[in-house]
Amino acid sequence: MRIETVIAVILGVLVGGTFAYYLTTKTVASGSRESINISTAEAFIGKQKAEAQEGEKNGKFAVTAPADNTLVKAPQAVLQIEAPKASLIVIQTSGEEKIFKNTQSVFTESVKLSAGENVIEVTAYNKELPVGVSSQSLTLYYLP
Amino acid sequence: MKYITFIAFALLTLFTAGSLYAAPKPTATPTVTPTPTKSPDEINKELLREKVATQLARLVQGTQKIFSGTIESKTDKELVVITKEGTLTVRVDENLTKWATVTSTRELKSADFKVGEFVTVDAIELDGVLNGNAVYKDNSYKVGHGNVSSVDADNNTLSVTKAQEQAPTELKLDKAVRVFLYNQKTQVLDKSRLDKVIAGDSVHYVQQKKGAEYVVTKLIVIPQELFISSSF
Repeated sequence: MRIETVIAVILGVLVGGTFAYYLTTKTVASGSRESINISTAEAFIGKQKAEAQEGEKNGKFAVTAPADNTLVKAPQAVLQIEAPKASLIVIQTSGEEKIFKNTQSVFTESVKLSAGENVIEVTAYNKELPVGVSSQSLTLYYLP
Repeated sequence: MKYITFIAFALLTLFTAGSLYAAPKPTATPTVTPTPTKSPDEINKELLREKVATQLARLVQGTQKIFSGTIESKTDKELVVITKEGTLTVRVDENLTKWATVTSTRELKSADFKVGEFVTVDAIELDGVLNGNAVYKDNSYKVGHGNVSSVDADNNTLSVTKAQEQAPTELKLDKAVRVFLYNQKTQVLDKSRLDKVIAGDSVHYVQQKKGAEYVVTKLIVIPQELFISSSF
């Protein structure tokens, strides 16, 4: 093989390879996903904590999670509740009832869900609350 | 000059060959085969498949909305449901909408659903229109609480004054109503009877829709003594 042929082959391979590399990297870059904004989530959690602490001072009662009219993927839901410590808490659903005194002002409690619509009422009895009692209803949906 | 021409030619050839190799490969053209004659069933299935695919592609852009309520009216294409948020109209399709009962996997037909029935609807909201994915027959429950004004065990009724209401509400009790009394000492619910309930007690109740009316099926009683003797 003549020297000119060898040079031509090497040069051709180099140029072709460079172009191939360019094509490959360009495709990958355009398909990359955007990163998640973590600072927004942290700010939201911080705000929730601040609101929870404020609630303790004022004898506040609220069911903070899950949101009303939420579709739940499992046959149970974890309720996040804010209430003055040592309140008598009553959780009533169509399939289950719970009654207890809370030891923490912000706590969670799991409730069983039936298939379909679940109307849940959470009530807290405590003298620190307006008229001594507060309640909140929420509707959760579970579709097996 | 001869050499330069040769090198340029070789470069051009290899550059082209390299680029073609690196470029994404076009998919192979499917071989055209003669299509056999389709039966009406196959044509219908194909049409339905296309309809589902088109609908899916459209609905994937919408937002899911779940709600429950009573059927006010229904046609082949629309279902009007009275919900706690107001009256909602859902677009339905005999083939694309799933019709079933929440407690069963057995599928029903649109004709099995009647006006006045309580349903839970899984829909996709797109451009302000609700498209029904599934309609389920469901049980309707209400929960509430209040202070007992009076108990009529003979007529199975209970009068309860709810918070922020002046006049008591009369609740009809189911014949098989289950009554639980909160035990202050053990802090658990003990099984009890209706005649143990007295005016002034706090009650939490579950009402189930049976026929046209709601009846109390479960009653939790918190004795009034608890509020006198404790910090509640």
